[in-house]
Amino acid sequence: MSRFQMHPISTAGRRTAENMKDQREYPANDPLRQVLHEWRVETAPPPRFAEGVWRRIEREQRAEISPWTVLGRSLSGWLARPVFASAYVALLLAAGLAFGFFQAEDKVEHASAAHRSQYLQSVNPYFVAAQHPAAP
Amino acid sequence: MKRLRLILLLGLLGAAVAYGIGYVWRLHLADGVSSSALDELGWLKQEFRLSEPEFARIQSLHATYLPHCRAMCAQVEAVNERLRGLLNATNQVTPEIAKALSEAAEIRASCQGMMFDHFYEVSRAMPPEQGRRYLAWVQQQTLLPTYHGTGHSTNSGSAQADAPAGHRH
Repeated sequence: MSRFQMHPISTAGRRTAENMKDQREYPANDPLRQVLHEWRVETAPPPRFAEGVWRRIEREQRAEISPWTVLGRSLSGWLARPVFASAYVALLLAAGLAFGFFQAEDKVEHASAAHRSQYLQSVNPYFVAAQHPAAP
Repeated sequence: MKRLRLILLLGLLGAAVAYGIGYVWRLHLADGVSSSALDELGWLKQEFRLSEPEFARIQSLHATYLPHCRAMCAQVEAVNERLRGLLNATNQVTPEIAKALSEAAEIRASCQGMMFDHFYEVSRAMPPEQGRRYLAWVQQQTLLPTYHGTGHSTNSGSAQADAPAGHRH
């Protein structure tokens, strides 16, 4: 039977659990343990090795943070200050008020123009004649 | 994060409410001009700030003038129709066409005379300053040609009438 042959799920699960248990309860007098204990690294690491390792760790940690998270964090920071939170709300209120006002301005101007035309139409026969020419 | 969401939501909600307030406020300032229920005389009342007695007088003048205006309108239509027929029947100005053109000019002069009589009466029924403003506006809209950009037009036939000067809502 090959090393990599699959066992039925129940058997494999049981064996994995047993192996993990074996590792946790590795006997102190195990030869492998002794060998690892006696192992010494005699080669010096390359210069600034530790600094390079930390830089790589830092870079990878930074890459994991999305721009949205950064934006959310800085917004939270800003809006946590009452001055900025009030300014934000005040700005939106003013913008909403102005937008509503100018939208209604359009409506008023349109209606006013329609009423002006209606009045002129009612008093000027040529206005009426020009507005409703006979069909060819 | 919860606090951030709350503040963002509060701001947006506030903006929506402010939008509604701004909209209603502007309509309120316009004093009902935008209302579709307003007729042309109602507009005149608001535009020229007429009191109730002034408005009642103008309503009466308007009601008296309208049948004459309609009669004139019918005459204009009739002479134009006749002129169209004559113009289509030939390729030169015949004595009949000259006569019809002359009639059309007479009707136009009579019509404009009657119209300006009415305008003067209406302006006299208004407060003096408003009356002057009204006269200037109706003259501009019904008689005097105005030039816009590259083309030109007389306002007597324009669909969109300019606003009277000197007063904006």
